[in-house]
Amino acid sequence: MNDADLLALYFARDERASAETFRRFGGYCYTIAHNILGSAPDSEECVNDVLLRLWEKIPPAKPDNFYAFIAAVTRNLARNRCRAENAQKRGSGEIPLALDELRDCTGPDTVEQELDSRALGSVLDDFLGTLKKEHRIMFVQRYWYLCPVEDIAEELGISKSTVTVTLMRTRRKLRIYLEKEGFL
Amino acid sequence: MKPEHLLDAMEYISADYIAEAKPHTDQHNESRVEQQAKSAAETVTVLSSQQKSQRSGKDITMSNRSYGQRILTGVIAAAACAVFVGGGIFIAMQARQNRPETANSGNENSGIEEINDRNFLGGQGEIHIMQNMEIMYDDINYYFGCGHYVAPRSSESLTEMHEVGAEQSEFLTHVLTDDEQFYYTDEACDAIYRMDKSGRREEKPLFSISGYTDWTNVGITSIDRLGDDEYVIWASGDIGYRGCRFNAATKEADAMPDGALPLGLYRESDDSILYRSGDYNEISRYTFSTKESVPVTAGIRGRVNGEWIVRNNQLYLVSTSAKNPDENGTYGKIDLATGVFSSISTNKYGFYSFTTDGDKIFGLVNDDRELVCTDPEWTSPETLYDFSTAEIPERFRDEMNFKIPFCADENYVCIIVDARSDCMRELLFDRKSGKMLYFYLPMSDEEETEETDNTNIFGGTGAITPACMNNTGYSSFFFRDDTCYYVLNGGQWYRFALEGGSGEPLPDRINGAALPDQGFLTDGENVLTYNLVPVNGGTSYPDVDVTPVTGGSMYPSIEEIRTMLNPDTHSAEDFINPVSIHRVGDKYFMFLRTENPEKLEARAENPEEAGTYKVFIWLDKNGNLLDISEEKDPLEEFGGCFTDAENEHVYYWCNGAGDVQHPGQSVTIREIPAPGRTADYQAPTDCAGFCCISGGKTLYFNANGALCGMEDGRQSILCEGPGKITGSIVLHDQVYYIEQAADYYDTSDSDRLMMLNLGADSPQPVTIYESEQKNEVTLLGWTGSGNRNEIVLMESGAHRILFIEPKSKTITGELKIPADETAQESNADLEMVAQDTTRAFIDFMTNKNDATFENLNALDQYLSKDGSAHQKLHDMVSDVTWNNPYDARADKELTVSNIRMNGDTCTCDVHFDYELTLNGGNTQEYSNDITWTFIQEEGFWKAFDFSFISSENQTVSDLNIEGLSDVSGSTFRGKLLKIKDPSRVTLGVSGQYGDAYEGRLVKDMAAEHGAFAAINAGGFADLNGVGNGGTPLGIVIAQGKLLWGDLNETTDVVGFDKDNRLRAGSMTGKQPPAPRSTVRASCRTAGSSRRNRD
Repeated sequence: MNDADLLALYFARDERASAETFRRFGGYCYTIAHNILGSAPDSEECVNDVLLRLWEKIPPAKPDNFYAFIAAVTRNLARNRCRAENAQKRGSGEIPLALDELRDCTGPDTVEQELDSRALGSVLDDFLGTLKKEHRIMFVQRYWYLCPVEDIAEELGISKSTVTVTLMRTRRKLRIYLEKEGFL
Repeated sequence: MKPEHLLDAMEYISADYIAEAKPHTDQHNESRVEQQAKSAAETVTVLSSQQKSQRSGKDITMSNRSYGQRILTGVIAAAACAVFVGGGIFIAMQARQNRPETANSGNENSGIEEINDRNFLGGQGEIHIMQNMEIMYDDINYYFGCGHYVAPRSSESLTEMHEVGAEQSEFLTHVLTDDEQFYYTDEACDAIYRMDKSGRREEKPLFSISGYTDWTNVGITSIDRLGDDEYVIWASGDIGYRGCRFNAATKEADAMPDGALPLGLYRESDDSILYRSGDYNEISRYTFSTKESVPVTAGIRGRVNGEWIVRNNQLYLVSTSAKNPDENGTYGKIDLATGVFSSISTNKYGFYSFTTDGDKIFGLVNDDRELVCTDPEWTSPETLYDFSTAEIPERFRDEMNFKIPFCADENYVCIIVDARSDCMRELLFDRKSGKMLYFYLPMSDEEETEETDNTNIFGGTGAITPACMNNTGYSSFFFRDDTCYYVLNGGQWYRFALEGGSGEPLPDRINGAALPDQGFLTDGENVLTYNLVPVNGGTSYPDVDVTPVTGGSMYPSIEEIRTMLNPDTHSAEDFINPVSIHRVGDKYFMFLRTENPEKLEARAENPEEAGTYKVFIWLDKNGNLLDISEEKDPLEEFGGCFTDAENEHVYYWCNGAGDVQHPGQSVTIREIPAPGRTADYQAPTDCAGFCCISGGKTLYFNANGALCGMEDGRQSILCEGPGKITGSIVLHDQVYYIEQAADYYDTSDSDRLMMLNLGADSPQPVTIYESEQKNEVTLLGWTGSGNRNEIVLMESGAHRILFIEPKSKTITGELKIPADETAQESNADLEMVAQDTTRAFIDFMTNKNDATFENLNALDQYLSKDGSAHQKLHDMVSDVTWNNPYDARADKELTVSNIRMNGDTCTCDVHFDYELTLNGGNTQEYSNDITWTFIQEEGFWKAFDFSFISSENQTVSDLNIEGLSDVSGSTFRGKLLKIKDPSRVTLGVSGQYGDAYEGRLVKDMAAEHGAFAAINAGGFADLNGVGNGGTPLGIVIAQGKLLWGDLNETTDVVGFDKDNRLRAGSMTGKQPPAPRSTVRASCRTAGSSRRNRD
């Protein structure tokens, strides 16, 4: 069953849609959630939430890229859960580390800024477009999927130190980019 | 900018980048993920099924405005639409799709084939149309409001509709029908296309405004079929409606004069149609050849009401009085040949509107109580359904006064119910089965709120009602809905299946709304937050903490109450704190307290002038204010309210804990009569605990614990003191109460649920249930009705709520409260638990004011009853039951360190300094070190064991370890632990070394070795701060074996030799500085990784 068939099930309000989504994407959803939450039970619950949210959103939503859509839903739900349950305190996944690393490309937190996330996201999107593909993948895997560095290294067949150094350089580039764009 | 901003903004990156970076999973990972996902799938099946069923309500939303429009449209349509389809077949008919069915896409999956049979409404099979799409149905669904609201055809008699999604809704606004064919109008509503039931359109339009007319600024709004290829197409715009007769075969268009309304037409002849016109009041004849429109109902009195039907050249209709449009109309007929109106007497039926199907008309008669079917001449009326004897669903019961027969076909008759503004209700009478189907659409007050959620505030379905009651009202923390029980315990809500069993904690927010942590106010019918926001039905919205759900509350809001308060005694800043709400007969009562924030500090000294008041509000059954009164609220403990519905009195009591007997305390009972009632209550003089007022008799406990009654001013003892009472209820002349264990330390004694039968000649206490708990049982009330009453009590210590059937003395239900997630989380912070335990321990040990047992009781809550700590401390009672001769204790430093987790057990060290001021004024400092061992017990950390080292006894002899002490110098600060026996020191290692292996935390290694104390022993490679602790610096030798490094390399080493002598210096592994020994263990080992340094 391809994405179009799956969407058809959702639009027909056929409950097989959830089962099929879970069969095809459950593992990925779980991985994304686990990267963020760091807890198996929380991640499982998050996957459940994702399925429910998809059921609620589709229709009317009709995503062109179903995988990206479900991944975004998973990430958002996991992050919301992380915030809501103060998961960091409970020993959550990669978020504290990722935030720590991203300090490289953010400014001192001395002034309260009203940031437009959408505008910042647009700049990030542009920035990603300037990167080499492999560097972009590395960056997105680390800071969108919140994959552990070792997983990225394993995934890309490179050493951890290469990932670490590449990410560090990318963050420096991002810092310069953000400065130019007036965000810093 | 914070890093969080960046992480948040990543949400908006391109989907392509997300898909591009999709992580792969190798075989190993896949299987792991799948395995974990599999367990999740089992949950998914349960949850999704449940939640989807909830969802059927979730999407249902409609603003008041749109509802108003919807109803308005409905009424107009009902009043105006006798839509014909030629040949005398009237409005309700099955749509015959004259477009060929779409060929199957060829997908071999049978499920997909089935899906491809779906129609554009989202259902399957042929679409039946009633009233120009207002009502439709196919094989699986009913559709209301032109398809915007859906209910399954498999429904029971009462069914909740749900609203379609925004995209589908938008699509449906472009769909039209002439009752035989569906059409689709383009975005600009300029052209109209034939459309088949699957939603596919012809490429070329059937008709376009620009192609056939000179109209401007109008859009196509409807189409009526005059014949096979002949239509009247209607458009509307700034200047009103316009119609155009259009022949699809000849492509000829003939525009009609302005002003014709597209609300139903009947083709009278080839050259003329009848249609409703002129503000719905008239039916006119339009002649195509002359382009003239002439009213045919000019001769009747008033306006045309409801539908109309033409049979045998007679126009049947109901007319209303022009003077009073609401007056019931006259049913009659107009001879279309002569224009003469003649009445068909139906006055005895009270008949004033109808709908039609073929030659039948359907109307409601006898004050809308009966649905009848008859012929237009009213010669053979037949009652189809009698509402007065039918079982009306509760949701509809109060809304049935105004009904409109809306449309009908060969299968159903649809009736619109005029509902409150928060709900749309429609009825479908099944003509074949004779059953009435009830459909409703809960609606919110919010304007077009996106992502609304119609589940109740607990995330369940159905109205929230209190799960048990007692003589003072209803429980504020124990509720239920159609699916679950909900219990608030320790600030956390839990959900339980109605069958009982273990519960699960609810998240802090459900659908974006926060669950209050202080329960709800309830009078049994209404459920409100303590901010007086109603939550009965339970809609919650993202970003809004609590939202009214029932279209408002009969109780005034806080702000409304503020305006009611006496301005001479209240300021605008006063706190208004609702205490309880009650239904008293057909009135409602609110008990509130107000506080003046500026005067609060004065309360302790002068309660009378502290600006605090009790406020009593009486409301009538509609929520209108009957009376508001207030009295100063001196510093007294408020017990609660009891209502006497029959005499319309509310009683409240103070100075005491209400139904809890307080020996030696005097409880005051006061009355608040409803407006118009007389204050005549005489309170007992020796009340120490209040039960209730029943049948004019006040039941209470006196200071000796005896159950007493007071009637007609006479007080009598009904039963001598049964013991220490901690809660009582009176039910069916029987008093149930909790008798607390008399001796806490008597293992044979425990709390008991007792019963006294007041109907007996000499009431004797009977044990209903004997708990294993002590001082942990609370009587919540009773549930059920009639003979099915069950007593409900909570055993806090056992974390459960029990339902007990008193006659059989059996437990009929049990709700097990799981470990409080919040408490668990906070308890997981061992530091706090250890601090609290230590303070309670020191309170016990220092024993100020000879409060041994009070202190021990307080300490007990932190102790595992099975642990040695419990045993030791209880054994020490005799040691600490002397009055410690000191005047004051000043607590100083209390630090918790070295928390060592090991599964369900944990140890930590606490250092606690305090200073005692002795009787002579001298002070003495005490320094204490306690090592606690905690275990997980029912979700809480409880102290199982401890070792205690005071400054007076700073050694633990069996370890030969001297007490830990602080050391510091100009460049350092640290802890010094003196170990007399160095042979007890050993080197823990993390395992294998190298890049491929990770280091371990010291505490983990210490726990593994059962170490009393441990310290980092060296460094590890940490290039760029991403080291994993797996690569030691220097050499590691343990148990005489080289584990890492080069024996020939000179490095700084600290270690013990095989004779347990400490050696330190720069040396090689082969080169012991002392001649007699080799290095037994070096002190460089793997440390914690960067990730878990903290």
